[in-house]
Amino acid sequence: MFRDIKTFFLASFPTLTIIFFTFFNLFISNNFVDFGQLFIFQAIFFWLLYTPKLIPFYLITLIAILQDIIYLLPLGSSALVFLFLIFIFEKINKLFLEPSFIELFISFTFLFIIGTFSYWSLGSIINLQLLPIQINIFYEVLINLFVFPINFFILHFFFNKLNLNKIK
Amino acid sequence: MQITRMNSIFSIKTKNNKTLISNYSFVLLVLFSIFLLTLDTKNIISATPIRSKIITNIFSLKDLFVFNLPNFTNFKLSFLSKKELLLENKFLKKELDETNFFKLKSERLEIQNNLLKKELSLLPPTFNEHVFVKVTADTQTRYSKTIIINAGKNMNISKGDAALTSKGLVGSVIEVYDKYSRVLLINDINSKIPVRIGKDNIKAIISGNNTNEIDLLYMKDSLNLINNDLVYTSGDGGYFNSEIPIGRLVKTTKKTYILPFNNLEEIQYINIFINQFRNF
Repeated sequence: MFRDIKTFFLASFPTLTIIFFTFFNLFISNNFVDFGQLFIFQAIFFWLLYTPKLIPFYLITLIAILQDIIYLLPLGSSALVFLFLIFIFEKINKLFLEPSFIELFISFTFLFIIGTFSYWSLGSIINLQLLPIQINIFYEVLINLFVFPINFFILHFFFNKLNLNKIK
Repeated sequence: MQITRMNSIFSIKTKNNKTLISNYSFVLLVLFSIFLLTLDTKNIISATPIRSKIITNIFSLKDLFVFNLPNFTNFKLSFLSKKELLLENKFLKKELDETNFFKLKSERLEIQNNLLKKELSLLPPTFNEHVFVKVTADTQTRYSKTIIINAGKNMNISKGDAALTSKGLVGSVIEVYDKYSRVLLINDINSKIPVRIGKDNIKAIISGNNTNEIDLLYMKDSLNLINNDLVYTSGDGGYFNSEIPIGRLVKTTKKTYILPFNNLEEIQYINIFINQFRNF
């Protein structure tokens, strides 16, 4: 029984990290630097690479809706952006069999920029006017790209430590 | 860092049932998101009760967690130098002077206002009650400019109440939860406020655009606007009291916009004026 509980907690670890990223950005990092709504994509990207079975799409959708609720964004907008990014991720993923970290970083950069642009486009469509493109957008992308290797390293550490690849 | 071969999430050609289900579920979730987005943007469903429950639970949990943390403030204070304390003292005195100045100014205006209203045989307004609140979470994004404050139905806050600092208007309450409320800032794209500009009392409507430069709408081109003119609420439409300062007019060769008095990205404490215009 304890083994089942342990397995359950281990299996939910990727989801918990995504939820943690959501609240980290809202309550902690927001006081110093705002990573934006795409911050959680760092965790989604990592877990999609290593343990895609542990983060089902419906959970990503639910977390995205939770994010919309917190930030008063139109419900479903974040979910749509994340699902779109996952779709592109899969297309890119097929190009690499054993990507190096640099290749992953480039893929992430590409996806992050697409995600930022998707958010902007969706916001413009919803508000029926072109939203201004501010310099903050570029800062946000740069900051996220800067912390991506750190988060990747931390998540990779937990991935190895908890042997998440063995969970089926 | 090399990684092993990754699992494919999608594989259209595969005959594996599990993958097919995954594909179908993906499409269904996309459709669900679009459906939800349509319902929310067209206001077919009201998401406020759901938001209320979720936000109350999230922030209550956060408060519970924060209150049970060991108090690091005292520990941190012991490391504060004399110089820092003096600086803080100076800053606080300045803040106090500023607040007193505005208080005196508002008292003087209130007396003057009452006198004028008497002359016009109008009843003076009933008291303006306000609640001093803290910003619990800064939920500003590039696409929406809102903040969450630590007072809600428990403090008699209601939808439409004005949010101010000693410098001027910050926004208005748009959603009220049990212990929290959400304030829509004046620079949000959905914020439209009737205003008057300068000594000539030129009427206009200001509209946020998610930047710090607020747009002016519905103005005649022939109007002579002066740089640095004060912009304050007109009270039209019965949403805000009149004469609440908002910002200064900035006129450049390219465009004319309003620069708010408050730095909307760094608000920590605000006053919520309850029972405002409705009491007149």
